[in-house]
Amino acid sequence: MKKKLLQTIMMLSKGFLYGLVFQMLVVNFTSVIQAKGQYKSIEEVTIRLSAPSLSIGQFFKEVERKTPFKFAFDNQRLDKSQIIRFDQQKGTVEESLIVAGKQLKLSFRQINNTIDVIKRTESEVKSISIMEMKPISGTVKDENGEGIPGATVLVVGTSSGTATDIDGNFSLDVDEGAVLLVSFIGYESQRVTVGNQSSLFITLSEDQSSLDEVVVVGYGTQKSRDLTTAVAKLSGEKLEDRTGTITRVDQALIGALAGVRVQEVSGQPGRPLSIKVRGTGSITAGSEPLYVVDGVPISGDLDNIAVGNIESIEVLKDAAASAIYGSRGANGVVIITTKKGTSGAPVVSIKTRYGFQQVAKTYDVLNRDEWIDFAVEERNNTYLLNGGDPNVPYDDRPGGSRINPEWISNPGSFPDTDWQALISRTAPIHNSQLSISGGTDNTTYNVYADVFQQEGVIKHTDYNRYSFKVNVETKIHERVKVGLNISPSFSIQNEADAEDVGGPISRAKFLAPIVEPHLGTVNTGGEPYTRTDILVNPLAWLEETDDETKRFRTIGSFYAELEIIKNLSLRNATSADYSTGNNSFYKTNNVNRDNGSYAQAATSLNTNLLNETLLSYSIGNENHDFTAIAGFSAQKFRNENTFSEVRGFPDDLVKTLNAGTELIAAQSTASEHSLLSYFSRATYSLNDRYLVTASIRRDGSSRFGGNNKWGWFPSVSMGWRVSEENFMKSVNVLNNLKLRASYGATGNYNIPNYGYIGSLSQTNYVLGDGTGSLVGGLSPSSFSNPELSWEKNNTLNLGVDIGFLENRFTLGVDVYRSITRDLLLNVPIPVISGFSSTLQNIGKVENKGLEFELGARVINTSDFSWRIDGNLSFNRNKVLELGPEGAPIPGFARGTSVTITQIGSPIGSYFLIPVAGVFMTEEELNSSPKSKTQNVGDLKYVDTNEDGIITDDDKQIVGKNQPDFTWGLTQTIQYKNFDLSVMAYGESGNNLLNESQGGAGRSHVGNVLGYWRDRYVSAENPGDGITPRAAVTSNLTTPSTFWLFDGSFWRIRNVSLGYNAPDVFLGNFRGAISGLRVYLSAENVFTKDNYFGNPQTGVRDNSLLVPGIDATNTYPLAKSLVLGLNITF
Amino acid sequence: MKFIYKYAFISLAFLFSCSEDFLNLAPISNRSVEGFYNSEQELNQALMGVYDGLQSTQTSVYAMLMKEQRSDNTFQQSLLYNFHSIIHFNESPENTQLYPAWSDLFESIYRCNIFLEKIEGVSFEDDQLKEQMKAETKVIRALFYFDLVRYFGGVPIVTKPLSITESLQYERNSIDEVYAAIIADLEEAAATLPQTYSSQDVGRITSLAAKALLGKVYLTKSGYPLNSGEWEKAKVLLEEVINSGQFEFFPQYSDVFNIANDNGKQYVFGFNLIQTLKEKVILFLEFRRLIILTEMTLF
Repeated sequence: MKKKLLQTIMMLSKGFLYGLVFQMLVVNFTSVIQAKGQYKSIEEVTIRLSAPSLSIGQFFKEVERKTPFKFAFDNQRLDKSQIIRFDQQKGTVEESLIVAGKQLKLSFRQINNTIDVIKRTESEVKSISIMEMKPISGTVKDENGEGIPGATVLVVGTSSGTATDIDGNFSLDVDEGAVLLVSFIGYESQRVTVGNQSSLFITLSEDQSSLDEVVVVGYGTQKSRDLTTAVAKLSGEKLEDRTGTITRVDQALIGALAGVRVQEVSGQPGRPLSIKVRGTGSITAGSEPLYVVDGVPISGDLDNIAVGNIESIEVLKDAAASAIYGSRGANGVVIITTKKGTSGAPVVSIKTRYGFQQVAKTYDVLNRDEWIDFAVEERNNTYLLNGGDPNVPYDDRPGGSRINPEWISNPGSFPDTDWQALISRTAPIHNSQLSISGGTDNTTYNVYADVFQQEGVIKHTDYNRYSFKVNVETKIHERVKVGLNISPSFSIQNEADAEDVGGPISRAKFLAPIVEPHLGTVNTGGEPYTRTDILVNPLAWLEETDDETKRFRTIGSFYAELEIIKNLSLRNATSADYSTGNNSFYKTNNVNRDNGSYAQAATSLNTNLLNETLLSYSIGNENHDFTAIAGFSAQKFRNENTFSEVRGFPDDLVKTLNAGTELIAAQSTASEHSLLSYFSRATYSLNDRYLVTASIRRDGSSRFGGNNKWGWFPSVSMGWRVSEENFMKSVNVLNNLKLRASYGATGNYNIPNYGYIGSLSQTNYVLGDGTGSLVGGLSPSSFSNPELSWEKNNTLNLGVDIGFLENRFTLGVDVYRSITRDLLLNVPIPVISGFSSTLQNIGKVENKGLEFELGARVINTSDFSWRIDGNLSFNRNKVLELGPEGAPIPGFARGTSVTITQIGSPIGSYFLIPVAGVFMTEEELNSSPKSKTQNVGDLKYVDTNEDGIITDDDKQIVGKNQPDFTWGLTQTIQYKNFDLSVMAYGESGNNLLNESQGGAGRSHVGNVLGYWRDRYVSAENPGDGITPRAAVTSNLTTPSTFWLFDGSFWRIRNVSLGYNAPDVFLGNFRGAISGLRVYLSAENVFTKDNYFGNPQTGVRDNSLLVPGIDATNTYPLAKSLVLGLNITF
Repeated sequence: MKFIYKYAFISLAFLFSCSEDFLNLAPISNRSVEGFYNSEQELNQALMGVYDGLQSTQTSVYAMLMKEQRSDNTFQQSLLYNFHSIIHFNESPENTQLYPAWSDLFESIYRCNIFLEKIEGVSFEDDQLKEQMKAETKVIRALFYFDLVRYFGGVPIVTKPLSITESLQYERNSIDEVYAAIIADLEEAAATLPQTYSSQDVGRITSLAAKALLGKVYLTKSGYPLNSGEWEKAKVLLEEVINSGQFEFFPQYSDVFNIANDNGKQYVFGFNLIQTLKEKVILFLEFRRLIILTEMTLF
């Protein structure tokens, strides 16, 4: 967009001329002349000079006036006042040039009607040359197939050249074999060798590392060269090929930017992911960044935002950058900017993608024969362990120890059901986009429509989204501009309750393979040996559960901008983010474990209204540049929810609530919060070298207690562009070197609405005869705390940006230390006070880290280019202070504590009893400390405190969910019209905890995971030494490192292969179609990890105290292959 | 230019149209503590909150684990670490069932204490009613302390609302002292409470319920660990309850578990659960279902 905007300005205003002149100056030219038609030679044309001696300037003017020839020369290197004395006033142009050349040591070269003037070196004798040139024409286009007006086309080694016209066309006369240098601001320059062709088609690609790149920084933009804070940018173009497979905006950020960690906790279509910018800076108030869409800080997450219309995504990482968002900036700010219209003829672009997805990875579980083998062994062991008599026949043993003799005598008579295959499918995915943009001098528009249809890889789940956007901006007066931006969207998501902890996804792994797939759920009858009564048939669950959510969201703003005086403008915007959600849920009696059919309906309505006034001023000359903004904003959020549940449906035919006979609950709630803000920012740059930015914001929030309603959030940042210093001018390899330092204060205002007010909650009671009737009661539910305020973050960031060899290689390094204090904690207090905890601002956490972003255009020619973009980030998280006495906070899974948040360790560190393998011999068993009753083949726990017994006191910090480092690497190779891009990313050093491990290895519950093949069987067959024997004991329920896994992984996230049809290919359609692209794009091509499931999952992703807990129930990730077509008219 | 001024004016109007009121928002779906406990009606609501404490403290998982399940009347073969260890008397302090037992009871005691404090400042039309409401609260408080002393032994005796600072200064009282407090509350209440209520007030505590509880307290106190030997006191109280003619046994023991017999003849004191809680309790009563429920949620 910014490039198009630039084009527009160039084209339509005086700016075009200035721009051209600027470019000319850059390459030291004063004139570039269009050359056309038939030419005469300087030998043929005669001239009569007005005087015997002329200055060279006068001479050139006279020749240009009296003959068709024009001179081209380097204005700086030619002293035009030098006098030439002519022997004769009349003669051919050639004769006069010879005289001039001899006297002034110049040589001339005629190229058609242009005479190049070149300063002659001593050795050169020949002063005049006449060259035969051939006319050549061409078009310069950008990657989208749109012509670039005003691009410079130069013949290398000469002073001749031209500029492209409004459609990007040019014509020029050149030698065969000449090399053209085509350049335009913001694009990578390209060299093209002229062969025997008469027309050239040149596509310039955008210069990604350009220092002139415009970066959105919140309430304004800055040029990348002037940035003094840590801001990462993802251009929308990079997502273009992936819009068919990226369901949500959050997915686009995966692996893309240093310091931005996106965890794909679930593959459920439409499900939000978890985004953390520079680690976890809060314990209870959430770690998600603030999202700003087209200037509107939105409430909630990125639901319903179409990826195809995104111009760019910027992430404000350090506090100096995000301090302009004050009390909401502590977790970073993600700014999403959508496309806008540009003036000119309408550009219509149609994009469509279609493809298929499959489950990327299924769990390794036992098949029928392996399971029977396991079940017989486990049931035997369990039976004997509980003191059973080995002489009792298999079939007569009690409950879970019973063994069907037919399993052994005739295993083939049982089915071998692959439940995971049964519930999954190859699912289609489709995305189509229509975009029309254009405008006149006064009005621009962009109209966008997007359809996204995704069937889930798990049956009966899907996600469909229909998004629209209209952006219109018009000048109603020479100083007044008004605009409207509105993007309604509608989505329907069917989740089939698939991720329920006991639901189909976990059941498909744990239901025994010998169960018939067609068996119903209730009273199965057929197979008495597996508990299908509680283990609902997963396929039936999916088929008979309705779980549909419809969301409607509109983000819109109306704005007016007034230029009060030159350089000073006032803008007012009124914006709204309005969204509704409507969930209808129904479960048949069959899949509701015989508890009766059940239905619920839930609605939510979120409104977020914003009014914002912004005053901007900018002034500058060649040495100084000053910009300032000051603004005021008022924002109010309201959330309304209703919820009702009904039971007692006579049949499953009518599934709406009215058909039920028994109302279980019906309620509605509402809450509000508001934010008032004043903010200002000023940037100043001196000589393009010394940069300083300062900002301040004052926020008042209804969420803060009466004594702390308002807070200040200042920041300052500085930059020094060392490469602009004179002493660096001689260092040609290094063309950019900038040092940056920033410090700022931000807040996290995600404390509960009304959190400081002691509130009463309903505590009803039933009085009266018989069933009685409900009598309303009220009881205090929290202490008042007028001191309650936001969490305060301070970040120091130091950075350096380096560019080598005309920015072919760039490197950005940032190092930071971020301290969040006054953490919002539910501080435990003695319950004798009436409350177990009270919300207080206490506690401190540190995140420090190091980030690298690098870019390399390894090869960069017109036919072949190879580009590498990489990022690498390290973050270390440490709790510095907790509650009044620094007591650690435990985190729970499976009803027992598994994590600890304590001073000196990362938030939510895994806190478990270490396991040192399996007891191999009686001696080992007898000589080791034990937990409960243990036998040979059971897990051997480590007695870390050496008290001779295994208890909870032996728990240690054994891992963390935060990775040591994360990285991303994108390689783009372009050969002629083909391009290939490969994107990989990974995380290393993180763990996750699988809580299902506490109940693992129980055949009466169903199947077990593949690692049980390597179990301890006997002294002769001890297995892998890690997996215990098959027996149901209370051993595995002990929270130990048996539950803990390595979460490191790397993944080839995307591979795209594309072909841009050249104009020749388009033949007669060339006029109508300006660009055509076909491509194949594959997501999740390959993953290398050390875990049987999704290493990034976490069922309690909202609770930072228990991160990375897998209950083996999350929706699997999908791999997909998509064919795409883009056409631009 | 007029045009421009108009726009400038509109923009500035926005700038000054907001005030501090914008930031003072009161809860919409919750009442706040401020301004509560001012009328007879509000005190009645607060008393229902006191009664509500019975629902969590008497029907939660811990209430079963730490009372009936530990006895030899029942047996549970739970695979859950936390359940297992409580039933076998080898629970560790980290056991997640212990804390809710402690906190639910003390949170409910706080409701009693704040009620007893606030009721003093409110004038009632019928002073008799005021005294009765205080007595009801004291019986409930005594029941909570009776649970606490059986679960944990000596616990801090708190009889008024505390600030956070005050709460940090309390220490455990002895088992003896806790029993003394329980007995004092019950004796006082038993003298004040009516023997029966009108039909719409069934579910409130009667003097007989207070006496029955006091009898049970004496019985318990007479056993381990105090061995106070106050059997005679228990006998007098319980005989009074038996001879009141208000109660008789159901024909068979299993009738106790029949919902149709709620608040029936055998009930000295019972309360109706509100619907959702009732569901949970019914599930618990079916033993097989207990295992199903826990595995469903924790597998």
